[in-house]
Amino acid sequence: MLEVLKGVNKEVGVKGSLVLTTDGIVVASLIGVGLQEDAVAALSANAIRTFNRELSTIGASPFSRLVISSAHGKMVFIVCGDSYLVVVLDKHINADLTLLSIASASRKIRNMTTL
Amino acid sequence: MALFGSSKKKGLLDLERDALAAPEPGKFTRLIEMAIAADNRAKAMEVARKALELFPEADSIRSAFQNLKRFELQPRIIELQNAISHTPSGRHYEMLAGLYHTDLGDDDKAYEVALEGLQQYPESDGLNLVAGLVRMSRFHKEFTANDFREAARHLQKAVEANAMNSKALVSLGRIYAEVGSSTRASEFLKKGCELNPGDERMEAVLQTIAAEPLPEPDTLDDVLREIELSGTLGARGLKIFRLMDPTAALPGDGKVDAAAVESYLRNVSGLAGFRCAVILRRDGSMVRNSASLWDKVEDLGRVVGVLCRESEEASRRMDIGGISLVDLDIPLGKLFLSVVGSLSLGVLADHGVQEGEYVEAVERFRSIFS
Repeated sequence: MLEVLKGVNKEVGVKGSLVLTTDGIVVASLIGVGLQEDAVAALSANAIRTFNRELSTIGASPFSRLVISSAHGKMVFIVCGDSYLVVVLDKHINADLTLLSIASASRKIRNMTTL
Repeated sequence: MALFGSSKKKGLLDLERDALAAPEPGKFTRLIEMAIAADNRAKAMEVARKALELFPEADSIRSAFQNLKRFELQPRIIELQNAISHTPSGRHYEMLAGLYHTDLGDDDKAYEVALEGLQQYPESDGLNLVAGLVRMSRFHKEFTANDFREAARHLQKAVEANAMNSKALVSLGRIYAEVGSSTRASEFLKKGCELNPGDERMEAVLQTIAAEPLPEPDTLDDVLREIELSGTLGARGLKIFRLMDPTAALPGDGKVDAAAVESYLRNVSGLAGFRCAVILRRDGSMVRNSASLWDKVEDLGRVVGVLCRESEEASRRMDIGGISLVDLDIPLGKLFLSVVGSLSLGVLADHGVQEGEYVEAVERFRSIFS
């Protein structure tokens, strides 16, 4: 799985990536310099739990993709089976191309976790 | 305004007329791109300036304007970048960061250059000033405690490195005054006044502080938390902001324009695949929702409020600034969220909709209500 994350991190603008179970346990993580792994994992786990809990109240959980675009960066969450691939990105990226690569990585992870 | 004069293509003129009749950021961005493609940079700049006046917060327009300015300033940028590569000095970094900040209005790039320079020249007052001004500007847009702390830290370092740096002194005094720390604000503003006697704005701020005293907070943590949650400054902070920047807009200090909300919802509900939309205040209360047959529209409002707050919290903790767009794929379809000033937006659409149309609709929301 780390090899898949290494591949994701090679994409332009990617600052780090990790895989979390839907209940927030870190499966694999490759976070770049300047980001704190524990902090990224904790807030990602919290976001996944909160989003799915709230969405369930309107019969709309779980989410399969979440992109938070902020003034100076992005966070992408993509479901891969029972896990989520989380990727932290710079603001200045070609989002479409990078999102395609992230989607491809999420499929690889889903295949790994369901084998 | 004839944007393309004797333009050969009728399509361009049609788009020009359309943009002027019903201005939208996306239309102006396309016009700018067409003018560039036609190698008419002067006209592209004219359109960009006009568009920026109409939609100062639209990312696509700001980006197009910066690209045009960057083209003009490219020789100077390259010269400074070469100097930094071959004979680096703090002065070169200061000039490059200043050029990005002042001439291009590209705060992100200015900040990046300033931080790179500060790794080698941590005592540079010019680089600390640029970094501090950029973080102060972000604070005025997003009100995050991180931005305040980083702005104050950089400006303080600029003042320590050069006690005569009046811009750093004034900015430091101003930002402390805005969050209610009168003692620290007065100290820096008085020093600034000594260096620039007769500065009416600074004198007005000092008078306001003296006339409307607030108890000095023991720690700024609680004050900053309150500002972060409310998404705006307190009453005295707003007054000081307006004294310092009479023409600048500050998110979160305006009243909700009911007619604009109504008109926006009417517009967005015409998009293909639209299901419903909600507009909320920061406290989560509903301003208005689109007419919808879906019986869970009120519940959607509550969920949108929580998800916007959670997204903002994640963004703050990652130090990546305020959220501009959150998009979600959920079993019901696609959900688009955004927060601007005192308002939050949630739009639910069917699966398979033209995402670009909805992203543009969110950008329009941000432009109208910023």
